[in-house]
Amino acid sequence: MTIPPPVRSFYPSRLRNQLMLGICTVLVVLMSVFVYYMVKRQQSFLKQQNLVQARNLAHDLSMNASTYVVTNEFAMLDKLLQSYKPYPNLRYAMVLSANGRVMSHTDNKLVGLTPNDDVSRSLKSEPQVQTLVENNDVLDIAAPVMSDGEIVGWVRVGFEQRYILQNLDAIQRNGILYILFALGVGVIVSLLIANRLIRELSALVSTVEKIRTGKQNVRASGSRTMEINNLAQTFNQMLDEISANEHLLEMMMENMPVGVFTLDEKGIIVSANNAARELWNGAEYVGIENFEVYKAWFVDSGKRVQAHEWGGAVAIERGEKTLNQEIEVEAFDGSRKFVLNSAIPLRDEHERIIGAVVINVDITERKKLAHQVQERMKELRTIYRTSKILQNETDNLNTLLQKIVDILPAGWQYPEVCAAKIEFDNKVFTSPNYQASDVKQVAEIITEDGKTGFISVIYTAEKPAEAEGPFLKEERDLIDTLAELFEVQYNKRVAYNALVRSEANLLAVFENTDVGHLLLDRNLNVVAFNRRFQTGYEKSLQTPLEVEQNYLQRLAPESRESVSQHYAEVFRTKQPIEYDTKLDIDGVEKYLTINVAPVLNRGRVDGLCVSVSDITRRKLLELEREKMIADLMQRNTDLEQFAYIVSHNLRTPVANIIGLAGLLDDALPEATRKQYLSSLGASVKRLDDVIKDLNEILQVRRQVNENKVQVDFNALVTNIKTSISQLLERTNTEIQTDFADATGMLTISSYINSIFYNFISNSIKYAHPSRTPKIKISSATEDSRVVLRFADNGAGIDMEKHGKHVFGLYKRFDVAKEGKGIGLFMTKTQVETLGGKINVESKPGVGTEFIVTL
Amino acid sequence: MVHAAKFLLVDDDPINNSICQAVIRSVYPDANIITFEKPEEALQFVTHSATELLPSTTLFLDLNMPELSGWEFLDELKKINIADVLKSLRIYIVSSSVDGRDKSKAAEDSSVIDFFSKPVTKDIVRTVGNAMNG
Repeated sequence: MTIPPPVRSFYPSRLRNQLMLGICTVLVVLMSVFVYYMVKRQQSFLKQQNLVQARNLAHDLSMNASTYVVTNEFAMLDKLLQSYKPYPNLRYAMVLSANGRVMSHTDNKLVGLTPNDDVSRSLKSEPQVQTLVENNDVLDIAAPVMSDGEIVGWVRVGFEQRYILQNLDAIQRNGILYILFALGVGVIVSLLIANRLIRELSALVSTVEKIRTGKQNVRASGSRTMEINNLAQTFNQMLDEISANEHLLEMMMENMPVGVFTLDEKGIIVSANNAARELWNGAEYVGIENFEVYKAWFVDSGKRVQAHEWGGAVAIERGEKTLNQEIEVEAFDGSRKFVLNSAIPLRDEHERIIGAVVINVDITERKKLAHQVQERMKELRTIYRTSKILQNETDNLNTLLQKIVDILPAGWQYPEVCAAKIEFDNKVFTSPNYQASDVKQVAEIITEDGKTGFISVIYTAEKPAEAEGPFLKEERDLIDTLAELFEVQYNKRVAYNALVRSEANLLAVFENTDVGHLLLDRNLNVVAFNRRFQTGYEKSLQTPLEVEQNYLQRLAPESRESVSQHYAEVFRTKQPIEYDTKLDIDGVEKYLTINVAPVLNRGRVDGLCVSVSDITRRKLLELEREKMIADLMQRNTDLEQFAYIVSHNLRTPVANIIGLAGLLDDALPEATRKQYLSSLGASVKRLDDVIKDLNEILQVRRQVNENKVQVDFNALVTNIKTSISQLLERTNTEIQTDFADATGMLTISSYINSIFYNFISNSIKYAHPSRTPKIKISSATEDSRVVLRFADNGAGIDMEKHGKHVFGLYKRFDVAKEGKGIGLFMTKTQVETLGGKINVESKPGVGTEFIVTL
Repeated sequence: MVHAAKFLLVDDDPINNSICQAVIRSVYPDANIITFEKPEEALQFVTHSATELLPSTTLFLDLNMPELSGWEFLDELKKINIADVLKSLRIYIVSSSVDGRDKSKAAEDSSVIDFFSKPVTKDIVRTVGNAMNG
């Protein structure tokens, strides 16, 4: 229930007054109400009573007076009225006639008069009791006097009303007295109760006060008043809880890893947790004015922190919070630490500052680590930058070294007093401000090709001692690493240059060699090839050769199988193989030697190196030589055979001659002698024949220079046919000719004549016994040579048995036939003299074919 | 020599055969000499008349014969393989060949005793005869 504002200001603030006000108000109000009510009730009661009385009296009177009114017995009326006079509170009673004349009255003086006042006039002529006047003064009741149902007169009575008022007044006066009395009682009682309550409440308040002032374990005491008891108990519970929370909070604060100070509203340090005490190595519980016992300097400006500049002071005095302010402090034991200082003001619900919390975080370690990280970063950055500089492959070494020496100082702890120098290969590079100094760190450079140098880093000022003079252990690592980086890069460059030179050389060799080279990887994809190979390949296969193609796929299908087998063998045996092959390049047949060598990498075949040499010329020369040799050998054999045969044929008659001569030496009968002589003659003749034959043969060999003429084959055959026409007729020989392909040739006519003649006569001579000889002579042009074929259906030759001897000298196969056996030998000689070849094919019983290629 | 020497002459040259025959007779007048101009006939004789060759018969074999050469004749002879025949035949190659190869072939052939160049002389016959006896 809210108290409306105007009342509120009136409403007392103190309990006692409230109580008093309350009780008294209640009493007063109630009593007043009561009294008023009572009075009013009394009043109305009395009035009612009066009225009733009056009416009854009026009625009574009217009844009683009725006879008298009718009879106009005034004396009786008077008596009657007189009898009523002692009636209490009766002021007057009158009997009126029907026309309003006073017939009798308690006040004799008024008899016979006719009232003509308003009141009287208000009397209505209705047969009922009427109230004419009812006020605080009088009650005037008129009752009709009836007789036989007619109004014969009126009775009016007047009662005193004033006594009611008086009565009421008395009551009222008493009432007020009672009210006042009640008020008094009320005040007293309320005072007593209030005092009691207040006492107990005060006890509570004082408990609070005690607690506020620091007494921890005070608790409210109980009371007889239940509510206050409950309040006290609840209060105690709350206090317990608060105490517990406070305890918890205290523990938290105590054990927080950050230092926490709490200040009261005056700025006095009231608590410092464990961490705070550890940080400062103690704590001073002082007020703002004495904050300077805590020594500290702002990290950014370096200035001392003044008393009122402390975060806690600022929080209390200005209500401003400070967050993460970096300060360097000197603890009470003299040690220096870095601290993050924060302070927050504490406010109550009215925003009034009731204290502050100050937090100190010890960041010394962190700062140290941060510093270390920074230093590492610097060092690392120097390495990166150096590495990057060294990666530049186009700049020359001197430029690089100068660049490096310029960035070196930034990597050391105190770059502002740091300078560097690099000496290498008798050249010196320095960073600005380099000067000789005792304070230096040096690393040696040694390259693979024996060049040496130094990297030196100096400080131009004294600096605190570290691992190596003022230099950190990590800086030693740094300078050594930088020297190494340079060495590596330098060596790489040297190696690279050597490689480039060697590559150029190799490329020169590779491209300018007579041999085509192809490099394939393990999967037979093309890795590289030189021009010579490419030209040969592209001419032969009419497709371009490209790197990363699969080589096998790019070969002609018919050679794939064998090539892949060769390659497989190399892969398997890890040994190179070489083979010869023929290839059609640009329409020309070329002979190639192909060498396939494995590319070995740690015992594994990583690829193949295919080398192709064009050995066509050599091969052709070889072939020619072989042919020549074969020819020569053949000739030789022929010659040997010739010699052998000749010698035999010569020797036979000679032997006979010798033998016969020997025999003739002895004494012999004449007949025998003659016989012997005859034999001798025959032998000599034989000898002579052989010599003549020899001569003829030799002549043939000599006559190479005879003039060549154009010989027509048809004409030739016709001539021969004519010359042996008789023989042809006799033997029924048929000669067919087909010189369509080659009608003739430029050659020695006698030889060709002889050749034709010999073949024809042989065919006739060695005809098959059971059939007539048929000879077919044909010519053809093959490879710009004329090929003549002489085929017959004769007896044939057993090539297996006599093949070697067909053209042999003095070899005959059918001794029954005439002939010395030199025919074919001569023919062969003649053919060969003309630069041709002669071959024979024959089947016994079928026929023979001689093939002459000229 | 105890009994009459037996000689077989195989040569396609009749003159040679007659000379040879005469020469042999001049050394061994009682010699039993059969001549063949065709080697096949000689082969036939040897095969079918093996007993006549006993105890031993000297064979003068020419090399250069048209139908069957001396070597071929020997091969055919070996094919016959009648032990008596081979044992009793003393084969000499007589040839007008001056080819060294023929000589060495003769030396290598176990069935050939020796190689002579034509003509067959008395000396040759005597050597052969002595060899037969010895």
